[in-house]
Amino acid sequence: MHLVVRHTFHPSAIAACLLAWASVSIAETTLNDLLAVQAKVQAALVHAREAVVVIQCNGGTASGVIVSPAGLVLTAAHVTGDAHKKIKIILSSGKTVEAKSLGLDTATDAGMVQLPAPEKAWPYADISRDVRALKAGDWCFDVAHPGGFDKARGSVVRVGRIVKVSANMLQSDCVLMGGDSGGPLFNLAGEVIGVNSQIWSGRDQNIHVSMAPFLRSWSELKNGSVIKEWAQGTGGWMGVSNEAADGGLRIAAIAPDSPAMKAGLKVGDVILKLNKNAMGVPSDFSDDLRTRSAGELVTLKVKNENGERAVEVKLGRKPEE
Amino acid sequence: MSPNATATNARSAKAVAFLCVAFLAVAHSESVLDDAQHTNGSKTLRALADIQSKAAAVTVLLGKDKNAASLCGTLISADGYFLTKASEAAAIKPLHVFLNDGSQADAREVKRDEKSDLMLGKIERDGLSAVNWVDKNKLSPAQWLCALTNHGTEMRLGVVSAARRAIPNSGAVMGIIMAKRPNESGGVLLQNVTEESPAAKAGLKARDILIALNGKQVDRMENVREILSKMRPGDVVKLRYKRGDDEAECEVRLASRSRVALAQVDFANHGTSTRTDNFPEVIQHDMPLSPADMGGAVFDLQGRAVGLNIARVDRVTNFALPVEAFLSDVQRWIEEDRATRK
Repeated sequence: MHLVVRHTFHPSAIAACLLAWASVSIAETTLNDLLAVQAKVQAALVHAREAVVVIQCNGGTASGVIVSPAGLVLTAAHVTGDAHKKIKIILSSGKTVEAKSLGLDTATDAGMVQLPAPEKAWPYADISRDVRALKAGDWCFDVAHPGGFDKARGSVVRVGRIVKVSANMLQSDCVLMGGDSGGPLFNLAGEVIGVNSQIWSGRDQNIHVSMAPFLRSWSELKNGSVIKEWAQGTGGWMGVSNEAADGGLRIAAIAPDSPAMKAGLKVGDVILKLNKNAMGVPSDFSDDLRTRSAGELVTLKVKNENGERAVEVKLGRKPEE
Repeated sequence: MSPNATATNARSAKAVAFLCVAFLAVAHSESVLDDAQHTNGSKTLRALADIQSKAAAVTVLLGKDKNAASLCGTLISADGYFLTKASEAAAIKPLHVFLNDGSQADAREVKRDEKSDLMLGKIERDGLSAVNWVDKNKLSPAQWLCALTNHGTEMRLGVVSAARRAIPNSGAVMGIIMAKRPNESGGVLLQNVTEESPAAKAGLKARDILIALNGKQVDRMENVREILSKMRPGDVVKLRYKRGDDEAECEVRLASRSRVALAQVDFANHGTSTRTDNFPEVIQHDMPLSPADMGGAVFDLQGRAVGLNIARVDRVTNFALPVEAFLSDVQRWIEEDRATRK
């Protein structure tokens, strides 16, 4: 499966990417640090594990995670392959339930499945909505069913570190293999931060879909849409282009009829913050918007020669070209 | 591996397992963690330095020479008794041991235990460091464990990754699919040889005709199955076979069926053990180890040995025998050996 971004890049854009690819170094790890990580993982594990399921479809076996009491399941797009399909799910208890596949984003490998209405509530894990809080070096754990369902074994946990954070993906050193696809990566609070997608041959090359593609296309995926273009879907759009300047992002251009124009933003305004997040480089802005859906209201802190002001912008959907 | 390779043919596995193998598209500003600070990076592993030096002192390497050692052993007494993995030690002849102090010694096989796949060996030494076994194992899921790798020179970190349990026997196989033929006679036709299997490694190919196993003539599939059913993973079967008009012989070292089935659909980077199942009780952990690390002890973060690595199974799985599952047996074997040697 190629996770190729379907954009053509200007050479200068590629150079910018390479420049931004900085190696992260963090404080020395001690035995006590490791034991503290262990305590947090163990505290979250019992609850997290109950939400992890086996998904059987297309003659194969994979994993998934229930993220709502009503039985919404996140998995990888390549697991379901298509919307509206009958899918067999084995719960952590061993019970088998028939479910159906919802939408999928084949560009980023995000997929959804719906369990039938629960008797009371399905066991579920919360998802982390703050994609930008993740950093390379953060500890995480992965729970899934490598090789398929094994009653005596149960789900398999791996503990590791985030190696790389990119727009739609996370790389970790939680080692994965066949059958782990679609299984959740958790932060130490037990919130879902990723969904297992791909591996390279190296043991530290384990790739997860981040929550960004799920969050920006949540309703479309739930409604059974198949998204094939990168960054399509209900991803929030403001309609400004900007450049780093004056401690923020100076607006260089505003698209006609865009949410930015309707909100009264002007070329030359400098965006200091988007909600609580400080804006330093253009990717701060695009990464943040990528996790938000159309219709969401955000607050910008903006300055110009007259001073600072707050501007509310209702995000829209990027018009088709 | 080709994209989606893990979702291809897995004839003997229960089902295909999903996980794509792919290329990563880099398209954004991103930060990358320094290799040394990965979970098993050199800086992170510095936290285990004290455990590492204690572990190295009680670890021996088995093989023809130190740099090509194919197995580890763990010293369990000051007078030179050590434990290792029986089914792999069987291939090491003569049984020669390299100690951490740079010395080496010929070893004697004291006891082979089929049930646990443990071998008790002995070198004639005194005053050695012996492993410090934990008194009471209270292992829980996601608890850190560590062990030596790379000929005893580096540590690896992992966690208790799944339930403690018995691993059922899947049988010993070569990795062949035999063709059904009416009126069989004159040997057994191979329809297919599984990639990376013991049979493939011994050079067998599809359309070869098996004539004899261990000197016994085989005419039908049932003859082959019967002979193999009495053998164990790690055992060597001598084959006589026909390819075209030529006859040839080879030796195939049998492996666990579950391991041969998995080898096609996954990669473990440094291979898997020959025997990966048929254990009465194991601890499962996810350290990135190699088959040559088996026979080494597994430590908790207090530096106490909680068990012995017994099988490298797949990319995410190792099995270790918990100390309480074998310690009393091993102590009895040592007492019996000492009694007969007096």
